[in-house]
Amino acid sequence: MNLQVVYCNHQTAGLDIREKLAFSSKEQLDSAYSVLKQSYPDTEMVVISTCNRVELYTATQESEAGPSHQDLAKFFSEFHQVPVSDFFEDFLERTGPDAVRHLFQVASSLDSMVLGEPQIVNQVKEAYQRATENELCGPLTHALFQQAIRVSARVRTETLLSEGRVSIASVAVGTFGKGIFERFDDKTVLVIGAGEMAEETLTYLRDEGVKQINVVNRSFENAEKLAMKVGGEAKPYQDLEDCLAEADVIVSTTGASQPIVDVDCFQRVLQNSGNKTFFILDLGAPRDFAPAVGKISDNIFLYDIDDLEATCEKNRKARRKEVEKALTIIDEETERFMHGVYHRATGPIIKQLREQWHDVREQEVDKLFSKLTHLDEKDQELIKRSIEQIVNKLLHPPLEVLRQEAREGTPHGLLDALKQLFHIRD
Amino acid sequence: MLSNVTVFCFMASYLVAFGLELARFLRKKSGYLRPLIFMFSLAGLVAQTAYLFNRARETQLPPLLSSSHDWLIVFSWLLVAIFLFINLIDEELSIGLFLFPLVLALVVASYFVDDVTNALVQPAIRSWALLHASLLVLGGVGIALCFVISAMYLIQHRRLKQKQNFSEGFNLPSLAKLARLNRWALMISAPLLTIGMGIGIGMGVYVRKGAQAISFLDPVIIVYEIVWVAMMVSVIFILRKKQPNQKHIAQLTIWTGGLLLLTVIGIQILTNVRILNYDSWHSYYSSPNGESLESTAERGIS
Repeated sequence: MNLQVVYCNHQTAGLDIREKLAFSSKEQLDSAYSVLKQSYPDTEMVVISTCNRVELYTATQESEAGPSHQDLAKFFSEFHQVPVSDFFEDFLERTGPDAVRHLFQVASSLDSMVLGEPQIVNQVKEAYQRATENELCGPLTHALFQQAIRVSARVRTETLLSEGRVSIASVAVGTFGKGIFERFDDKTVLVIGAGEMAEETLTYLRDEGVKQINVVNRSFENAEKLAMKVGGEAKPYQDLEDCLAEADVIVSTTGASQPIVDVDCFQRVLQNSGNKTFFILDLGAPRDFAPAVGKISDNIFLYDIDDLEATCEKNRKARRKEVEKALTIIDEETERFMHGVYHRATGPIIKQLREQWHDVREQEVDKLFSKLTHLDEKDQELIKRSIEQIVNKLLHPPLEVLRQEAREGTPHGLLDALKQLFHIRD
Repeated sequence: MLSNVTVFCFMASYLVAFGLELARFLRKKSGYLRPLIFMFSLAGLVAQTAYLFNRARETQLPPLLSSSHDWLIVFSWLLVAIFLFINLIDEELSIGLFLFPLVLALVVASYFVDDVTNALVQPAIRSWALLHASLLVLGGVGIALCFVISAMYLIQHRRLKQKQNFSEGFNLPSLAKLARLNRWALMISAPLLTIGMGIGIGMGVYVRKGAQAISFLDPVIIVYEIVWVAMMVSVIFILRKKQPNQKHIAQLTIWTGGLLLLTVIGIQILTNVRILNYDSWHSYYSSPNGESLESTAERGIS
């Protein structure tokens, strides 16, 4: 029995390599499965392909039957038309318990870029489902992936690994924005500047239903470009104060060296806007809003990049503390899984050996009783029992050794020896 | 079997539920606590219902009319029912942390007030008395909710201003939602309390025309009227402004709501245990002939 994973992920390889090796569409993945099935018909396989990782899990009943690390690298090379030398150094391999542990870590998001992120388990489920649909899963991969999904749920339940948001944009909208506003679909968002983080924050805000987006930038042309991209409306920079008064959520990411909105400016804005609530995300460095703006009124909630980063870091730290707990769970589950695998490998041999010996015992006892006809039922029973005990005692040492060896891993050598010595067939 | 249910039975249930709410707040990740909290609260509510049913059977009066003790028990019963309802809608909301102290305070307060039948509930005015007590208890529940919502608002506001994160086991609604709920709770409870008070005064006038020479200088009524004026000032303040400062409203509500609950319940305890040696319509009442409370009560019922 052989379990193996070959992979490259965000920790081992750059995006340029991962992009080349990834299976970008379902059709491409199906086509890859078809090639793999043709090349290795007796091997169970599951491919996990996301933006952060490309992993191929293989499992075979016989240790020598499956593809090697090199074979799989060659497959990737030929399928994607990428020379092996371009990626082989970043293309790692793990086998046996290490492969199992790796999958459990991936499914529990310990191997993710953002620790505790919930999407990965769904990606693992989808990958498993796709492989099943392509008839590439067997008893080993079924057991492995089903167990991985269970382990992921256990880690999520028993640790705080998924507690708190860890990206600036998610903290801004999820932790603070949703604490201020009940809904966003009736809110007006003003974007000042055209930074990347503003765009990411807008993605979260749009998910919450934001419809009205105004963009203000010193360069009207750039404002128009961003407005077109995010489905908003570009406004001239001269209208900044009016736009501020109109907005409920303000996202600012200019590259200005001085604050562009100070207390006096915002006091003027408040005269036009009344006592409404402002949620201001100042994502500029240096800051675009003077910190004192947040203190003008109880209804102004101003967050700068440091405030948001501090919350992110706090959440990250809280998660890191949970990693050890999660690893302990994963080690425990890996051991349990491997136990099951080894037991499955030795079980049929033990069963056959027992059956064979007991068949011989029964044949010999029948022969003996046909010769010793004077024996009554009680004597026959005594003889039967005593021979059975002899057989059991003789079988006990080799089977015990086999069980002990199985605790360390599949005892291929011992199993082969038993098969040869006692003429056991698969 | 119903007669074996005592105040201690449901108070113990609510105490356990509150303890579990605290554990949920402190232990962060504890999914199993929520069903336990729900179970204990429900068990308490069932026991409390049985207790009220038993009391109504004994006094031959609805619980709201029979005594101040029963009125407080109904008050707390309504709060627990609301807690269970909210828990079904939003299981993550940490409202139990705020509601259970109020529930427990009401149950404890019920220990210190009379559980003998109110002398002034004559058959002729029984329907009006029931309406009076019902409106006041519903208005009281509304004010208790305003108090809880305002406390939640101020905590949420503080967190957002201090740019902090709540722990996993503590979830509060958004400021906008809390402000909206507070406004509604206040708008509904203010007329209920006003009408309830008006009916009470009307009943007082009616009773004075009869054999009972009761006084409007009842300390419960005087305190209630003062707090009612304070509450109406808050309502007018909220209605007057188009975009009021919600934090100020929450502060105002927490003060007036807290004051109303504290004084109305407190004054009932004080008059019942005779620390304030005044006759009250709502607790101890001695007739001009110097007859005892119980005999007056018996006469009133008959």
